[in-house]
Amino acid sequence: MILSRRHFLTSMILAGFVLLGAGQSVSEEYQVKALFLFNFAQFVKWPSSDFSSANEPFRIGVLGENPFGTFLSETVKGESVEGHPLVVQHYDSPAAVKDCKILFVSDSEKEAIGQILAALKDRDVLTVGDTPDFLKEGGIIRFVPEGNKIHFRVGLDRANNLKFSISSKVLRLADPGKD
Amino acid sequence: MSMSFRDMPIRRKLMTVILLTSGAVLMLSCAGFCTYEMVALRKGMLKEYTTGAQIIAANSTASLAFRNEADAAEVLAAFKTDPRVVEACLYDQKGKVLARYPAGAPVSIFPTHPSESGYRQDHLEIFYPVLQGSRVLGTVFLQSDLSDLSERYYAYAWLAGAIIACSILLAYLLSRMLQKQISTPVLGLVETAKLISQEGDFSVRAEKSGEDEVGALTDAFNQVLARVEDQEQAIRKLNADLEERIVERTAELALTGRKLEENKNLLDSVLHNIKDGIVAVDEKGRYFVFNPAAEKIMGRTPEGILDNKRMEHFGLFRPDGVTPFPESEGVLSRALRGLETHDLEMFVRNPLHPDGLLIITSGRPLLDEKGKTMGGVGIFRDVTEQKRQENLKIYAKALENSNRELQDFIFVASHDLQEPLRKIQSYGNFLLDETKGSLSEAASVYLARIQTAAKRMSGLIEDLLQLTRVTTKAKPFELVNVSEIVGEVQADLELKLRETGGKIMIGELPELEADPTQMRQLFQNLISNALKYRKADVAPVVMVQGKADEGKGWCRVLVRDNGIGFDPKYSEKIFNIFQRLHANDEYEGTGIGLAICRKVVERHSGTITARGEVGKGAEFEIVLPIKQAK
Repeated sequence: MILSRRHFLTSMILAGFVLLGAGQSVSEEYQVKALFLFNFAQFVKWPSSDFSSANEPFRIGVLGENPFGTFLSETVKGESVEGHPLVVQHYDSPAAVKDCKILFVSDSEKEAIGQILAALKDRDVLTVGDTPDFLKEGGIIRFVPEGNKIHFRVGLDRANNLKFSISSKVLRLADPGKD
Repeated sequence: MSMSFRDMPIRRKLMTVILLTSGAVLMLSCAGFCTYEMVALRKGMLKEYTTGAQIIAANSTASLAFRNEADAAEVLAAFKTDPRVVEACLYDQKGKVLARYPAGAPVSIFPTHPSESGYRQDHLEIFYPVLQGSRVLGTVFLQSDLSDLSERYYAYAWLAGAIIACSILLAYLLSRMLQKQISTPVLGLVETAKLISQEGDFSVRAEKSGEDEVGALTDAFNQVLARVEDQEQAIRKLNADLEERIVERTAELALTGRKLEENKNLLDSVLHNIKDGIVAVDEKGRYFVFNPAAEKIMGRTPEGILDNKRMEHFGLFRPDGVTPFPESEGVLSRALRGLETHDLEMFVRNPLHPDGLLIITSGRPLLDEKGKTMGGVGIFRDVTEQKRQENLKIYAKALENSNRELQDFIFVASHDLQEPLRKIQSYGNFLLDETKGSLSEAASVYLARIQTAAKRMSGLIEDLLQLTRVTTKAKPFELVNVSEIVGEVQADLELKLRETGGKIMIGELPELEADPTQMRQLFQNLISNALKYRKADVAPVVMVQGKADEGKGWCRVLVRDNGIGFDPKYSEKIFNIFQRLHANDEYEGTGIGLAICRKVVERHSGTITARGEVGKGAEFEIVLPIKQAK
């Protein structure tokens, strides 16, 4: 496609605006991440034995500072996974983490990420994080920003040894890069 | 094929029926089969692609959920294996196109938003929702062309055509063989029937081919033939008898007809030519015969005559010619009442006969075989002329009688008168001799007068006798030379001629058959008269000449003089007896001479006419036949 000069300029200005606003528009990036979290709930299958009852809530936990605001809660509101209503749970410390199936480890916790993941090592929790060495530390899925898009990488060594199974469809979408 | 089905030979009819039936069944079943196949094919195709879309949908859930366009495009690239899939795309939840197939296809070719699956004009469109659990993540869209379907369509059409063609060919061959089973016996029957109708031979029988309906028909046909043959023989015999009788009867009729015709012609001829009027009426008085003679007598045809005025219209009167004839007494009226009439006299007056006709009529009723009156016939004859002739005959007879009496009287009178007259003359002479010179002068004169009167009377009587003798003392006719006669007369009158200085000029004269004495008398009288009635101062000249016209059988003799002549008004009268134009003392005469002349000429069947003028002489013309009737 041949762009006209004006279009080109407009595109550049728009791109500069997006880059400029990247630091400030956190919530937009996290809106995508919130949707991803919701999608993981859909595409990862937990054994029913992992739920104490049929209508036990499916908890998505957020550890540390909440970057989603109310967006995540609104996204999952009224949704359910195999009869289990989706709820968002905030945790201030790793010790408080309890009974959640997916746990997003906020950037605020990046100093203590090693200990947190080690603590959750034996728990069947799908851990998701932003930090670059999240997978090396024992996390399962890491968001990878690429341009203005968000990708994710899956720590396959870890994922294969879990009680729950991540859908191959999700694995197919995962960023093939290595950490 | 211009021939209508109705007129086709049964063979063709059968084949047509079989071929049409099998063709129709085949067509219908092929059409049904093809339709079913096509519907099934379309359904199958829809299902097949729906399944394809379903697979893609299942594979693209994550791509949609994570909005991974590359992955979505990869999923869609699976359609590469099926060339019929022309284009495909994935819509996200909001209906926006996330991924496209083929990869570079412009967005504009895809429907702007998902809708229902189904067949469009020339392609198939499938929309399938991408579901994650019960959540709709987006929609798969694919479009397939229908080349497959149309290929199949053609294949089916070819197959159906081939099947139909083969089947019809087979049906044609089979029906060609099988129709003979039906048509051959029927055609056999037809042939037999044709043969019979052409040859008229009822002894022919149809051949039976089987025990089916045609066989039964053949049996029935043969039975009918047998019966017809019997009947035909009977009829032929009857016909022969009848013909014979017809011939006889025709001959009889012809004979009768000819006789009738002859009778009719005879009757017509009689009715047409007879002088008598013949009329006939039916019982209502209407004329059916009215012949030409009737028309001539009645002066009209019967048309337009009212029945009750039959008589009056013909102008019928009683014989007196004045009293109208009462209609009820008319011949036809009487005939219709059954009465006969014989020889009834009537008088007819009409425009054709203004003077009227006297008729005698007869009539009688016409009776049928039972004696009942069914009309009347009348016949009438014009007797006017007949009646006139009868009257004339009676009159002639009376005239003859009176003539004879008169002649007898004249003869007797003149004869008997002679005697006393002769005595008067004799004694007068004696007296004259005895008294010679002794008588007074007066007495002498008286005596002389007596003598003269007696002499005159004697001449009169002599002439009268001569007049009567023309008929009573007639001699038979003989050939007479008029020239000789006139010569003798001239000799007799020699003295008179010398006295008067007269002259007779005799010209050419004929010979004829006559009584010579009377001929002499005739010319003597005529020439004497010519000399007698001469002019006082002129010598008389008499010319006698005549000529015979052999061709007409007449001769004409003229006697002309140069005497005193006469007034032409007396040219008839002078031939009458005792008729005299002059006083006795002027010209002596008895007044009988010309009467005798006329009588002589009339006895010779001739005519005599006198022409003259006072002072210019007289001319007598005598015309006599050269030969007298025997």
